[in-house]
Amino acid sequence: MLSKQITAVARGKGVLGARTIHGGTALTMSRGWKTASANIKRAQFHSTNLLQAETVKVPQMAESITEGTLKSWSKQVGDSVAADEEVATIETDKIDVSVNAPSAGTIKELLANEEDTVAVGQDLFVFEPGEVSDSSPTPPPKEDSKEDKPKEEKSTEEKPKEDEPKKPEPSEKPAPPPPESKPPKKEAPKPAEPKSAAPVAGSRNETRVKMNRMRLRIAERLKESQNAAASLTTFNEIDMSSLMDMRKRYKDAVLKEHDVKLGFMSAFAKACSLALKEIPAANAYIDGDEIVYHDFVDLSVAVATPKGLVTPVVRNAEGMNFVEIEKEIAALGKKARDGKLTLEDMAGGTFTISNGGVFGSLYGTPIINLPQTAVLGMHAIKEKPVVVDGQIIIRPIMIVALTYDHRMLDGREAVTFLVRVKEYLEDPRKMLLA
Amino acid sequence: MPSSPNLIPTHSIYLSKSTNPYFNLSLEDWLFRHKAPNEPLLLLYRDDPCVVIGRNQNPWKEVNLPALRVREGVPFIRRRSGGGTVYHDLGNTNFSIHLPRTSFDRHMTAQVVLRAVCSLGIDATVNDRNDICVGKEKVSGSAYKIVSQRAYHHGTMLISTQLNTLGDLLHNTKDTMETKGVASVRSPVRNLQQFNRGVTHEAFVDAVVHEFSKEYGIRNVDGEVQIVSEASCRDIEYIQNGMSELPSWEWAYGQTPEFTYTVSQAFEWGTVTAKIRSKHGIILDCACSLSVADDSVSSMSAIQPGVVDSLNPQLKDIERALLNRRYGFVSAIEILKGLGINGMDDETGSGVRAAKDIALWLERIMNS
Repeated sequence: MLSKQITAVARGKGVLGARTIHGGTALTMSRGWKTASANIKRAQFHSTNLLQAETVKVPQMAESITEGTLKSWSKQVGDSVAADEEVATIETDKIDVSVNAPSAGTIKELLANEEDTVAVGQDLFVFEPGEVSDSSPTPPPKEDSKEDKPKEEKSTEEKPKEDEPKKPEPSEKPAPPPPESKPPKKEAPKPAEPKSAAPVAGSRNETRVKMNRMRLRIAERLKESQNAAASLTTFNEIDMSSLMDMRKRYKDAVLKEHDVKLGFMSAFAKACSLALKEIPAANAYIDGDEIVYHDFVDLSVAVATPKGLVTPVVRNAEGMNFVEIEKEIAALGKKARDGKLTLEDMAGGTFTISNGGVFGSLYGTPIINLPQTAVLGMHAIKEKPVVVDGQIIIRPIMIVALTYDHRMLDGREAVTFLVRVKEYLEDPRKMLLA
Repeated sequence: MPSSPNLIPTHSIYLSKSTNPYFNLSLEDWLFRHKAPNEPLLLLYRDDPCVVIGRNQNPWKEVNLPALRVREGVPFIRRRSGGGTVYHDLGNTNFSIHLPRTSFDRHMTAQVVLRAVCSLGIDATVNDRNDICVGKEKVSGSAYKIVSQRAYHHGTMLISTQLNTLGDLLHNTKDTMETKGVASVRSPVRNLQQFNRGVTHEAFVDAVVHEFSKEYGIRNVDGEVQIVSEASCRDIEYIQNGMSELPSWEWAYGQTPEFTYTVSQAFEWGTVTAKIRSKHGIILDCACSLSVADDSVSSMSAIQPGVVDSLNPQLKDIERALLNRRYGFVSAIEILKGLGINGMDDETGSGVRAAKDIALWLERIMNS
């Protein structure tokens, strides 16, 4: 038997009187509105139905499509439907998506209007399963749905944003029926208020721009990364003076002989490759319940393009020298900016280096590029006072950050890795001894 | 002679011999709904000349209906998938790939057709709307449909279509018709034969069958290919019903989303502006307003002053006469009946003449 609490909630908006408690017995609740006596008030009729009602949501459309336009309702409130019969049509991106009734039953409530933008997973209509004989309950649902409609119109705006991060709504059968309790709840946050009377200086205009596919994919992968890995970041400082000196000495010769600019990326790439040999876990990945180690280092180098961030891969970086690495990075960078990077170019890196320093960042926590284990973030080089042999002198210092997946690497390993990189870069000659 | 055995939806590759667009679309829908949901299916067909609009489009906005009427026997048909308006003739081959909904990937299916086109020696690519192009020009348009367990990607392939006819029939610029219907995205098009003269319908069909079979692991291709004739579907009620549903007013016009059409016409005695609102092919309301040009009266010898005053109540009657009628299916005579004017020849008073002008004009604009 249903508890008083549940029936009270289900009645929600209904007008309760002493009579209804008698009329609304467990018998009528369990057998549904068909056997309800004529004495039972309308509100109770409706709330009884909700205990059996199902909310049908906007189905998955095609890959990566998150919303569409509800073009037409093929059925109206009160209509009966056969199992799998079309109830509504949604169009998106040349696709006609049919929303079908999960089983035979009656349409109780429509939760969106024609021409509304509806999101995947959004509640679309309420329907009561079961063979229906007559249409007498039509008046009550229509009245309630009219009340619910203005509220739902507002909440439809909120819903696309709210439904995305939330996992599928709790199922319909147990306690508080979703359609009933949701509208009042959603009223509380931001209802679309009409403009206030007080004049406001400045434009109040909003511009909506659809996210392009690339951005959507990037967003998806970043969230995946955050959810999967136990990410934390360790920092260190690098005295770049030795490296800068080396660059000053040889960049012209390199440019002349090899037609490529000698930057810092090659030094970092090399330093990382050597450090990865010592801490192989940073160059591995988790596959189910196994850890897969690589003998090679495929370095993903983050490149900013007008369309967004891409990470083309330098294959077998561990075997390349400085010049070769620079050449490869330059070629990939050009391909990226021309929009000619293929999926193969970007797949399968084992470690990522990201350079936020070119834009002036001082500190930062880069995000892991799944399924890799770690990412090194480079930042801007700043002249800072440091202590060397008891003296305070000015040195160019770069802060580096290593975000790593704690499932794979312990703090000790991560810190050691970063310290190794620092040592190699502060004295490049060490790289020859490794 | 024994009658053809009924078609069964258990094979993977169907080639229709019929060029009846109503049959082909109904066959496609029947295969879509009756094939085992987890098996891939390919259908290829060609249609006699027709204009095909998307499920949620507005025919008055998309199709050049007057030009269509001039061409006898060329209908417009609303298909069941989304997307925009296309023109079919025997120089165009239609492909339709059906897959389980969960593994449906439009880009993959486009690649199957792309590979087929490339195998014919054409340097084709897929653009960001998932259409097959050669350079900047489209050679194919695609549309899709998803239901509970199945999805399909179907599209056109221009091999040797009459592109002038295509341009003519799809040419429609009603700037003052605001519609909630899905808009077509117009692009320049070309035939495959313009890139490789040897490409034919048969060659394309073979190439698609080959690539489809490779992609979906179809062995024994010859055993899987079924040639379909209309006769083999004579007893399939679903297909017969589909063939009568498609040309019905309820489907062809009655699925049109809401639109508002604002038009003005200058007559000798003044200018009438009509704003007609229609949904699902029915006129919801029509607001007519009249304005008199200052110099119009002096140029007319027969118009009496005050005729304009008599017109305003008549406009109201005209608005009422259009209410709940089918947009595009109201004749001037029916409009005038609502004003108590019988026929075109009856009565020649100038007020009546103006009403007749308006009625004829409204009939014409709704048919344009």
